[in-house]
Amino acid sequence: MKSFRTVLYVGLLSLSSLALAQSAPTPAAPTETQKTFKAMKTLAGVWLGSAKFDPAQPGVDGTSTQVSMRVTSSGNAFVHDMKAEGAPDDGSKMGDITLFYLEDDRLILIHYCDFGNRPRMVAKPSPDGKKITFDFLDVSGGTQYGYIHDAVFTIIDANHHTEDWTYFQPGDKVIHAHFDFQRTK
Amino acid sequence: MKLFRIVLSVGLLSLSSLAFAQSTATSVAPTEAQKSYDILKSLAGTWLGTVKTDPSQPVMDGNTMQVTMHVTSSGNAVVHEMKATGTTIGDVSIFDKDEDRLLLTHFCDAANRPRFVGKLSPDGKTLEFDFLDVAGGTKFGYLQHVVFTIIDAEHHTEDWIYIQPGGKFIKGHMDLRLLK
Repeated sequence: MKSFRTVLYVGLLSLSSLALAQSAPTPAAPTETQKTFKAMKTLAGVWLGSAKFDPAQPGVDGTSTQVSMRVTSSGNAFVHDMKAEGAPDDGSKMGDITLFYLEDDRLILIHYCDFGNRPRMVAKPSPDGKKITFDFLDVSGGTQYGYIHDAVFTIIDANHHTEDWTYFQPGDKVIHAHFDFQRTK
Repeated sequence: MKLFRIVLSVGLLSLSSLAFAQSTATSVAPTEAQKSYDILKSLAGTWLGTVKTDPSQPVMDGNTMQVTMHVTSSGNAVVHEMKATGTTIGDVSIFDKDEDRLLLTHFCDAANRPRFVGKLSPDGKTLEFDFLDVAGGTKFGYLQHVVFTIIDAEHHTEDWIYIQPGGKFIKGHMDLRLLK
């Protein structure tokens, strides 16, 4: 909660300079994970694209999709909101939310799925900062309708990126969704 | 992901009527967690209010805060976003149900993620969230308790209790009015 953090800063001002100096961390070079998180944050904005499924899913392929991404919690979390284009902002019927955050020098993705479960994934190191792969970590909640297993974000340039989401259906059938997104703002 | 849900729905159509009938859940009375969650969903909208702290923190008291709540994930999660008005500074919390518990996960700008379990008062007006656990570092402190009180359809209050390093508590109380 930002306001409490403000209070904490004010409180810190009352510490002696010596104590403050002792407690101030030495700036360190960013880790690979921090660099990856920073690369993800460059995707903040609103994006429009279409979905393509493998195997093909007639009636769903080509669905126009909007993604809104934003940094929050003083940079400690990154929000990904996905919904069908034109759907109302009330996401009770269309849309779901995913959050990214750092934990123990791992970049975690948690997907609050409309199937009622919450899979978590961990980012692999991304040497070029362009292709960020999230591997399955665990899932909480019921999986009787399946669950999202992994995800890949590929940054093409400042105005284009792709997303690949892999869904495990009940019975372990796999469906892959690929999205080509273009920035709208 | 909604599109996968549509795919699954198409697949379900191929099931026999009998199998489908067998899988249809019998209507039952809502659990306490479901009742609590439904109350939270009724708060969807944009809210504006002022904050008051205890013990008083002059830098915070009287600040105007905006809270936006929306339902997502086909009704399986409620997003709570709070920020100081006129700024982009804020943080996000998610409410969802897990094993018939109402959970609150706060993605804190103190770089940790405390979780809470909700319980509803007998009159159905107060949702109290007790601390469950916290992930991430706590060197800057963490949120320890949260209370939502429903006054009427256009008013509610939120109390966020934060434990500072050293164990001192600060309570932030917000009186919120529905904007839209």
